[in-house]
Amino acid sequence: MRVRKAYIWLLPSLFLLGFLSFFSFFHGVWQSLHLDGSWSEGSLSAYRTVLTDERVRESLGFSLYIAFLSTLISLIVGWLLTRWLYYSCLHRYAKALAWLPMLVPHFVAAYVIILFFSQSGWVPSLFFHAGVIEDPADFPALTQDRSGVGILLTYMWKEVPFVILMLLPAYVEMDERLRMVVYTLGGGKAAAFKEVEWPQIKPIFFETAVILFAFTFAAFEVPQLIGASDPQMLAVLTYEWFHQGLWERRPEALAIMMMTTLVFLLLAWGTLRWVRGLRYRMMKGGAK
Amino acid sequence: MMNEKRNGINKGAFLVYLPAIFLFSACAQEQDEDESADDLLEAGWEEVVAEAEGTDVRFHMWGGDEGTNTYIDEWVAPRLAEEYDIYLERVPLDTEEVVQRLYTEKQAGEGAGSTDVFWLNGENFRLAKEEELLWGAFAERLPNVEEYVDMEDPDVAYDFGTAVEGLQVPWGNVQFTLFYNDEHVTDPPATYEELLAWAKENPGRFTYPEPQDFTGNAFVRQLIYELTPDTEEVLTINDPNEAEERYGEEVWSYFQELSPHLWREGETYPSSLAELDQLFANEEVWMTMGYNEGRAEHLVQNETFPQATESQLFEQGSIGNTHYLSIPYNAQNKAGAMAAINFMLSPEAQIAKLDPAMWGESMVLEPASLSAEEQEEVEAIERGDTVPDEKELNETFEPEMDASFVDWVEQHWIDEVVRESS
Repeated sequence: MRVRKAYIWLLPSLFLLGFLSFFSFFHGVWQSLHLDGSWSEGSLSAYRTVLTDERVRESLGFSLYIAFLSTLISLIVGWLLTRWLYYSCLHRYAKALAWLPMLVPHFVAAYVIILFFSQSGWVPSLFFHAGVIEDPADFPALTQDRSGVGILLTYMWKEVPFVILMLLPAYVEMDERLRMVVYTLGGGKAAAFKEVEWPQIKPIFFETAVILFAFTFAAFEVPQLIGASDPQMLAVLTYEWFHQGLWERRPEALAIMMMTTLVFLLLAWGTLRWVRGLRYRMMKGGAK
Repeated sequence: MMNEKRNGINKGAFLVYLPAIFLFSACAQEQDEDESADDLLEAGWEEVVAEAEGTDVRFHMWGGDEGTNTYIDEWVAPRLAEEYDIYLERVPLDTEEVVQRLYTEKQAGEGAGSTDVFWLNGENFRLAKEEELLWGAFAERLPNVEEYVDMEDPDVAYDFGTAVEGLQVPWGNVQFTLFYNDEHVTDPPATYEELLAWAKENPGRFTYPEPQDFTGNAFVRQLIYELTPDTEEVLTINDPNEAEERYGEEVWSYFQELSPHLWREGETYPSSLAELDQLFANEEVWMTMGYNEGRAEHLVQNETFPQATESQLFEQGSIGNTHYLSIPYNAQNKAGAMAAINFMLSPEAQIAKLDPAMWGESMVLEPASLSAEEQEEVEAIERGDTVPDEKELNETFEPEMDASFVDWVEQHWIDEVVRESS
């Protein structure tokens, strides 16, 4: 009864979200196949071009690198912070402080990083006044740099709190007595982690990873603001092609987006299935 | 108990569904004002003004310049409200987003658009005209256009090579200008060749926005006027491939040579003019630029730019362009839009636009058509120390090229200049 009630309340927004997403998705597929003119003009040429284009390949590589690294770092840092927050018995207001960056939109976060770390930013001028460097320009370029450090910094600052938000409830729910059981049976800290802690957080860990990876791979505003002119992340290249000139490259931009969507739908589906399996086994008390 | 609960659900659910119902009914009442709109092009001016009275006009315009925004919000809007009972609402939006939105509305068959007036030129005009997103030839219907604007002037009649045909009304014209910090730059470069030499002597102190940016693109293609003695030929080209064939090699080799001497050794470029301005304001670089000779004045006045900011034109050609106002095909308040645009072309509005405390931008009105009094008023305006002399502006003026040059620079720059050198 309660579940059904929740669905009724959600239906309008689900309908709007679902309808709009699916409509724009199909519209995108349509245009990427050149079908908005007539049936006879339809072709896969946009997909062919995209798959063989040198710039797309480089951008894809760069996007994978940024998405993978920022996901990995955010997860590790977020997870360590979660443990620290959980075990340190800090006041809950202190814990709330860790979520503060979540209130800031991504593009503002990028500006914050620029404000602090660009060569005319606060950190270099602090170093300069402290006499560590002779000229503010001697400070390493951390924003608009070719290796994407600025983008990574922004994503870390934004995503670490998200990881904490996802993981902390798992720790709060964890049954500490299980850990005691491991110790009583002669297991060490490593064993307690492996048998108690990890199985508990593993599903959330991977769910969070997929969300972060998909988001950082496809988001536009952060790399646009704080990324270098080259290499470009795929989203930036797509945006450029989407608006360029008389929209001649629009089918190609849409082809990139459609392929990205498809890959992530499959990835999300696979992960969810796998995670559901994990949870089921955990609920049954572990099959081992 | 059970019954009560059920009632609660229904009432609540109804409230939740309300917005959805609203949305659909809004879609249903699409096409009721279309017929009267075409009559407006035939109607007398009094009728237009009468119909415009008491209405809201939604003005979608690029919001990246503080001076322009101040002019609209603090000068134009209050006077329109007072004198014509028209309420102008400025909506900051990139022009390409406005065109995209109109296109989407057209595809969806949406008769009641969200834009009444918008600000555009060049590539965006070409696209809007090609996709038939503009209302019609309303320019000649406006009394102030009739009286003060020469629509036949080639700098007005062709917008980046595309025939205007009354679909839009000129609002102002601007010329490309370099701004430098006089404290550091003693001998400002007046040609691209001198600029290259200067950059070599002062490594890391100059850069320009990526050509995805309007101003950055103009900076790149303006070089053509220095490379070729035949400016007439430039104006006959309207195909990106031809531009590449004719000028590609020289243009790209210049920028390749310049690249290592730029800010951050040309490894990266500011992605917008605003970013370059930021670098200039922080004195990380010593020059910035603008496709508006008057833009630095209020930025110096409000201490964003260094006090020592000065201007410099490119001797062998500083491109100028005209920018326009237009009305979309599905504007809901076309009468209001016409009245508002007409007001923005009045001598008083155009003279106020010259005031450097706000926008500081040139008029589009024919000086000779103004009354003696108005001409005196124009003379009396001090545009400020950072604005080049009128005479210099006229001497260096070169017309804007076809929009296909913009495409050409957008398509090739990243490959030729950035990726080549990495």
